[in-house]
Parts: sequence; structure tokens; C-alpha cells
Amino acid sequence: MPLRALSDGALFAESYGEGPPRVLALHGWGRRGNDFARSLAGFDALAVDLPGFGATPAPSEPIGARGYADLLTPVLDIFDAPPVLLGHSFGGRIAVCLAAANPSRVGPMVVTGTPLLRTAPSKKPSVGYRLIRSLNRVGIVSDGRMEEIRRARGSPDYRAAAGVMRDILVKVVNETYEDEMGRLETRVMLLWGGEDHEVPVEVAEKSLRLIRRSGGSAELEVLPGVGHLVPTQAPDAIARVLEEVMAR
Amino acid sequence: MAIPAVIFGGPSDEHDISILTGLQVIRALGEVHGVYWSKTGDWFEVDPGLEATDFVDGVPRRSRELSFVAASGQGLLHKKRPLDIDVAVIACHGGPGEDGTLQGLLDLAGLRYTGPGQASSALGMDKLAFGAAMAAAGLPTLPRAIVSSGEEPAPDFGGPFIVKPRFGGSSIGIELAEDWPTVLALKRGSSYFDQGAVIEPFLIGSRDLQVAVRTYPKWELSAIEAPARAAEGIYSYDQKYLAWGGEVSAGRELPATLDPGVEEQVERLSARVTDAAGLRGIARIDYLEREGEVVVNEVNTIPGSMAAYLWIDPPISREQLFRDMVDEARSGPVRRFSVAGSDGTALRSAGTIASKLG
Repeated sequence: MPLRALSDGALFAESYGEGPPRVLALHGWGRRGNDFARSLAGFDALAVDLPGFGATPAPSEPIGARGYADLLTPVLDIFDAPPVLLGHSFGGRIAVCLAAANPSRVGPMVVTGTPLLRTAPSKKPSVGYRLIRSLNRVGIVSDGRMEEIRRARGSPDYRAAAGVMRDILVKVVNETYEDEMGRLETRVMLLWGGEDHEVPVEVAEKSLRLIRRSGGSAELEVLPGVGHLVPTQAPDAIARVLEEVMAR
Repeated sequence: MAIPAVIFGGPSDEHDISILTGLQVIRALGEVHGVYWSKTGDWFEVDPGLEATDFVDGVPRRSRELSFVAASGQGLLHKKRPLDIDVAVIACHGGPGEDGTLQGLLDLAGLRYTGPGQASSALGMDKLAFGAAMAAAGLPTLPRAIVSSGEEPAPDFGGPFIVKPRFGGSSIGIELAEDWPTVLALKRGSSYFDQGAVIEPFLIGSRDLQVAVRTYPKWELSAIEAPARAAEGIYSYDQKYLAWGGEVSAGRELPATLDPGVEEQVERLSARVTDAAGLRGIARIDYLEREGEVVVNEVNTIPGSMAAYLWIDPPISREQLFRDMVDEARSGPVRRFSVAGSDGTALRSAGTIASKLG
């Protein structure tokens, strides 16, 4: 779908359909709005290229998902009525922050494969690694060697990220959103791949309980045989859930 | 004994793909110098038996450092001694190996090489100039316009627009823009358009057709392919629009099912593009086709794997294709530079330089 400049050219989005948009879709890390091409066929929707991905330039500062939500807030002005928010993974983090910060301007949400909570305690770096890091700080281990070691230890996303995007990734993976989930006033559909090994169904189940405990409305649907990349692996399921939430 | 030197790699976005092409050519040709041009622009002679993975961490071990001297009788040197090369086989994609830079160096060194000459190589890499040259030759093309300042008035054709970096051979940076303000915002926001963007109307309902031509031992056309609109490309999405990027929705079609009229147009246009663009060796020409009408889109003067997979009818082996390319270069002239007219007359009657500055 053709790109459209939003916010005076600060952001770009693929626009779907002929009518005024009713869905705002936010993609995962390292992806772009086009991931939703098959999910959004037949809808009036905007699928943004998040800053640092696709056609949209990177943010100038290492911001987290809350900062991304701030950057996207002006986009809500485009919609005649509060849009359905569709977010996958990194985009889901931002969707939750955007909805929590703008309760009256956001419609129902569809969230897929999103690490809203941490499941395992984060591992402290090994003594050896911390030693090398401090040797780098005092100039004994070169920056080039340090970068090699960082890359060897990092996830594929970390290795692929450069400049401010790497700082953003580090910031984002350490975030959780209990507070935002507790404040959601809109209905949340959690749509998860049963075979998602990056963000297991357990995360969705815990998120579901947390939202409900806070008085929010949430449902979970697990898609058997689907992995983490719900937008590209199960676009029909997303389209079906969008239909359902828009019909209600 | 003089043998071919296969040059691959180079400081280009398509460095890695070029390694794959280069190693294929090396294997098929047999006795050659393998010349690796590194990402930083340095030259090395490498063992022709290397595999692609040997290049993952940069220059392979035990490579011999070379230098390039762009002077007659020089070229690629190992410890000040020129390698005994009869033909340079250029297996570079994108960047200075395909855009005429390397071709110019080889011209200055008096070496023969495969593929088109310096000017045609540069033309093939400039989408604005190539489109204009084809239009001037009377060939059907899409209208194109340049966006360089990001403040231009809208062109006289409407959107949606395809926005491409003006220079370069890969699909990196290509976007589909809904309207003119989006084009200008893309130009301002994306580093891919620092050297200018070209825009053309997006032909709704069109499909891509690709074909290879070769110019030796006689002019020949390969089978015509309708490529899948894959990850970085465009694919058929619904009846009205085409989606940009995303997943493969259909496999490529080779040979493409075509109306006889379309096939005839592609053949006729390819011969004329070959002449107008000065193609030599093996090139791939890309067309857009809609409802039986064909327009020339782009040319790739050194396609990946030399577009060997397109030569299926009649089948031509990779060995044969590459050998013919070498023979073509070997039998062609080296570029001669002329000093006719500079016989000293102008110098003798010139007076002092100070008098010129007046």
C-alpha cells in the first residue's frame, strides 16, 4: 500500500482502504507497517512505520515505548473516532502506553505477541563480562574488541541495531507495563501464537489476569501452531478479530 | 601466461552478492586470478578455491595484497609487478564496480574487461539519465522526474508515485508514496535520497517482466521472467492496488506466460535498448507490462549471477555464458585515448600565464 506522510513528514504510514481510517497498526521490532498488509486488506487503516524502521527516521534520543507513544499521540488527531489499536510485540508495548495515556482517544485494542511483563528474572551479566566491561571503561580493552564481545553476547535484534536504535532496544527490553495495563479503560483482545517461544502464552495469561484484576476488560485467544510473528503467520486471525471488535 | 582476473566485492551495498557471483564465475572459468576488492576498497588476490563463508569476516587469510595503478601497462600489481591479465571479468554489483568507476580505471590501465564501457555503465546506474536516454531513443518509458531539493512543485503526472534513489542498482530505499507531500517528506527524511530521488507514476495493475540479453557470439535474448513481487518488491494484492513489500504472494514465473504481442514487444525493445544504452556482455532489462503494453523500466548492466538462471531456452550453461563473455572482451578493443589536436600549437602561441589572468 502507498505510504502517506503524517505529522508534517515526521512519520510515514501505509494507508489502507478508501474511507477515513479506523485502525492504527503498530509493528514489531525490526519490521515495518507492511507486516500488516494481509491483516488489513479490506479495512480503512493506517499502519505506521515506527521511528527508526521503514521510511521513518530514527528518534533523536534513546526513548522507550512510552516515548514512542508520545511521538504517536499526534497521529490520533487524524482519526474521526477513537481508532482500534493493533499492536504486535514492540508495537504492542507502544499501543498499551498510548492507550493508557490517552484513554478517551483510543478504541478497543488487539495486542499480539507482546512482552508486557517479564517472566523470568533478568540475568545479571557474568563476573567475567562485567570485568571486561570495566577494563573497557579504563581503556585496557579496546572499543572495537568490546563491540565484538557485545555483539557475540547480544540477541539478533541487538546485533542488527546500530546507533540510537541499539540504546532504544536495550531500554525497551528492560521495560514492563504493569502500571499502564492497570489503567486501561478500553477492551483488550490478546491474540497469541500457541508456539510463540519469544513471548510465551504465559505472558499473555499473566497480562490478562493483571488487566482483569484492575477492573479492565480483556480476552485471550491462543492460535494453535502459530509462532511469534502473528501478523505474517496468521493475518486472517487478526482480520477476524478486528471485524469482531469493530462490529461490537 | 596471461589469464583472466575475476574482480568481485567492492565498496558497495551489494558487496556480498558480488562475492557469490564472483566465486561462481571463478569456478566456471577455471584458471583465473581471483581478485577480491574489499569493503574498504583494497585489492587482494585470493585462492580461487575459497567459499563464500571464507569472506564472512572480511579479507580471507593468506590473501595477497595487491595495488591498482591506473596507468598504461600497469593495472593490478603484486609487489610492483603487474599480474599477467588478458581480461578483467567484472563480477561487481551496484556501487563503483558497476557504475563506471572501475571501468574507467581499467580503461586508464589499458585493460580489456567484460560488460559495458565506462559511460554505458554510468548511464545504467542513473535512473533519471537512463529513462531520458530511452525516451530520446523513442522507446516507451514511464515519465520520470527528479526530486533533489525536496521543495519542487508537483510533476505533471499524478500519484501514487514510486520513489527511488536516483543512483544505485538495488531495491534498497524504494518506496511507494500516496501523494506529493509524502514524496517530499520521504526525500527530506531518508538518507537513501541524499543524491536525489527519481519519481514515476505507479502503474496500478502492472507486472514486472525481466529478460537478459547477451551480445556475443551473437545478440540473444533469454527467456522472459515475471518475478515474484517479494520481500523488497511489490506483489499483487487485490484488483485495484498493489501492495508494497511484505510476503511473497506468488512464485516467479519462468518462462512467463505472455501474449504473443507482449513477447514480440519485449524482443524488439530489448534489441533497441541494447543499442541505445550501449550494453555489452550479459545485461538484464526490466520492463513493466499492463494490458499488453510494455514500457522500459530499468537496466542492470551486471546482474546477479550474470542472470545465468534465465538462459533456459535453449539452455546455455554457466560455463558457456561466462566463457563467451570473456571471449567477447578478449576480442574487443581496449579503449584508446586521443591526443590528436594537441600538437603544441596552442602552447607555442600562448604567451605567459600571467597575461591570461590579465
